[in-house]
Amino acid sequence: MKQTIGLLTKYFGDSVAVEPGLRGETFIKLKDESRIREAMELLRDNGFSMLIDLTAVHYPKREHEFELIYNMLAMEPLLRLIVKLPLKGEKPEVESVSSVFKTANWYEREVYDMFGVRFKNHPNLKRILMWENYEGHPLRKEFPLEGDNLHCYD
Amino acid sequence: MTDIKKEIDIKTDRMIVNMGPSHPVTHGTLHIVLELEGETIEASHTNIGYLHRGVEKLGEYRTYQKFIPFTDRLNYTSSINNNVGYTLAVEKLLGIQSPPRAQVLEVIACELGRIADHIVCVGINAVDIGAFTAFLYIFKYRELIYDIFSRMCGARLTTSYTRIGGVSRDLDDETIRMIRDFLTRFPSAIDELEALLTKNRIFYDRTRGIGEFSLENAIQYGYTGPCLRAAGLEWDLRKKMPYLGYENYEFEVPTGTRGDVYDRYLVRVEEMRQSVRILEQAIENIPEGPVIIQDHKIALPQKEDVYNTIEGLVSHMKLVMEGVQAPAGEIYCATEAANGELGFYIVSDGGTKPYRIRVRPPCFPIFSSFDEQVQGHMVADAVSILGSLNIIAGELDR
Amino acid sequence: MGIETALGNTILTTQLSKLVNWARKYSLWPMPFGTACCAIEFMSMQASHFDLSRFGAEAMRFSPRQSDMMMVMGTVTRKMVPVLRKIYAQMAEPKWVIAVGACTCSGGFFRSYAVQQGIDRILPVDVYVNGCPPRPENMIRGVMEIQKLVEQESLIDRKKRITAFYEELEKMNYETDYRPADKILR
Ligand code: SF4
Repeated sequence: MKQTIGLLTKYFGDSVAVEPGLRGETFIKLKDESRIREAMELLRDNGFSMLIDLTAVHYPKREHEFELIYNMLAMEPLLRLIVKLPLKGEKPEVESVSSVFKTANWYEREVYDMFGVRFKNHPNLKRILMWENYEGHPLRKEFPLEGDNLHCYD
Repeated sequence: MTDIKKEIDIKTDRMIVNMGPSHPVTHGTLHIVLELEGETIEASHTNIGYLHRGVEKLGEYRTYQKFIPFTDRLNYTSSINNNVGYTLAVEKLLGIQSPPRAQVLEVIACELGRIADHIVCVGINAVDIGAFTAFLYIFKYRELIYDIFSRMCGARLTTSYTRIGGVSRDLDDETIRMIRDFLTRFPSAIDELEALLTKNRIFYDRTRGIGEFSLENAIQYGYTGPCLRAAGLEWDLRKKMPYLGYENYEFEVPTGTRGDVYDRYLVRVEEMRQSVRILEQAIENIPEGPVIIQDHKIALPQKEDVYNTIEGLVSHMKLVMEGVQAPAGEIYCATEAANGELGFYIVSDGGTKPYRIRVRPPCFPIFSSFDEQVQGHMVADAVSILGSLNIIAGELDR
Repeated sequence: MGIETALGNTILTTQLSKLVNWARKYSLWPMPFGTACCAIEFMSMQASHFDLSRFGAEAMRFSPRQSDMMMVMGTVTRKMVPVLRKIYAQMAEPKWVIAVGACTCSGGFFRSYAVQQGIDRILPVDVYVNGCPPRPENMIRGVMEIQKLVEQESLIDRKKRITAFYEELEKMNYETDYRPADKILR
């Protein structure tokens, strides 16, 4: 783990920060969103061969409204690393990593569907869980639980 | 010259075949569009989301305990594994551990759930290929597991067995007798199943070499669980990152070699045997003690205390009205569910409700590889591949 | 009286509709529209232990055109609504609908943006089966209720009931200004 962090700081300098987790996880915050693909490639070639999960969290009150979470797994030995990527603005856009990990394809579509974060160079960025031309992004905090489902109200 | 070449290149139109959203092989609600060239699949497009129920959003509006019933409905063929996975995640967030007896009970529950899940997957896969008998034979044993579950927690399917810091009820002697009885009868049922399928020529021909998936591809796609093991990697979180005291049990992790449908079937069957082994060890060594943590900020007090003492009443009321207070922070906790790695990513802002709860479903990444896997196969093979991946829509779409 | 006295016990007189209904009652062909957890319980109901075939309704047809009883099991999401309607429309008359499980009856505890709150807002439901999930016995009871209904209700009554249902639905949608989900989808 130390090796990997050393490597990351060597390549990315100031733009990575290590945060200790609550219960022994390692979180890495990458401040430069344009370099996420580079970072993923670096991690993939250094043992973190699997992207377990890709998701986002919405913090409407912060300056960086969205935080993408890349959940990485190294197999030999078992290490988990969570890379966080804060994004600015209402409709942020970030480089897709689906060319690095094939599994990211669907995860990114899901994040787009649920949060409205757009991914550049994604092969097929469409909604995945909700239907096409649905309005709104359900997992954003301002989206009400019932959404536009009128049946919930009566 | 050029004209002749043109003539050779003429192709017939591709045929588009729609499978789903309501189709007998899709067991649930998937939509697959296949482009066929004759009988061969040239391309496939999958649509999911027909069972998207907004579980993650609902979780943000519920306290930590109240999310447990929602986990039942994620992978509904083995609800109990999801319960265990979720409560482990919350326990990790709170920094507590359930008492030893509860841990053993959770292991028992998990392994029974795993067997139940594999029974469905193997049985249905066989039905899709045309072997209805095996399904009827093996499904009888699922009914036995259901009986055990309904004695353990009062429900057959939607178990909600675990609580934060332990389990909801203790095992009584009758249940233990039932589990022992099941353990003596089940191995012969697996033999029966294998006699019907493993060396069956038709089954073999329909599954061998179908849906072969290399290990690199599997890792790229984020495979976990039986499908990854069938591709040849010995990867089991129960061994690699033991939780719930799995390091104390002796069992093996079966692997395949080619990663095709047949290997997946073999891995699942062998896993059922290993689960029986774990269960045999666990049922003999259940330690004495409480089944839920005695901290009344987290777990409900005994009913006698609630009725007879004021402290019991107050802590009961506080827990029911407000819920468990969790420290602010983020955790990720993964367990080996029947289908693969089931992870819960919880972001807490220090309140009684999660700020964001993310379920990492095992079959979401697995199913995303379906398009690539079926290319070049026949239509009928798509059916057997789909069955072997064990796609559970509730978990896929959440 | 009449023909029966003349010919003895060899002849039985009845109304034609009663005879047809009686025959129909024991040859219901269910079409399982299973989407979620309840469908797993349905599998148990069909398998060896509970065995639906004891009640004369085991001929599962997955094609709506060949069946006359639709069992809707599991959560129906709003993305699924147009599909469900289409499948219902494809079934040949006379047809009956059972809503199995809390989700199908009322949305269950998924009160969220994505779930249709009860399918009786889109289809005429004949029998509701409660439970989350209902036990297989309970589902079998639902099938038996349908059999009773089939026996007792003549087709003309049924038609009247269904027309009244659709009229009410129209009125309700008009009053609440509700656009049915499949209009949103298309
Ligand atoms: S009623 Fe309950 S068991 Fe049935 S589909 Fe809904 S949540 Fe699942």
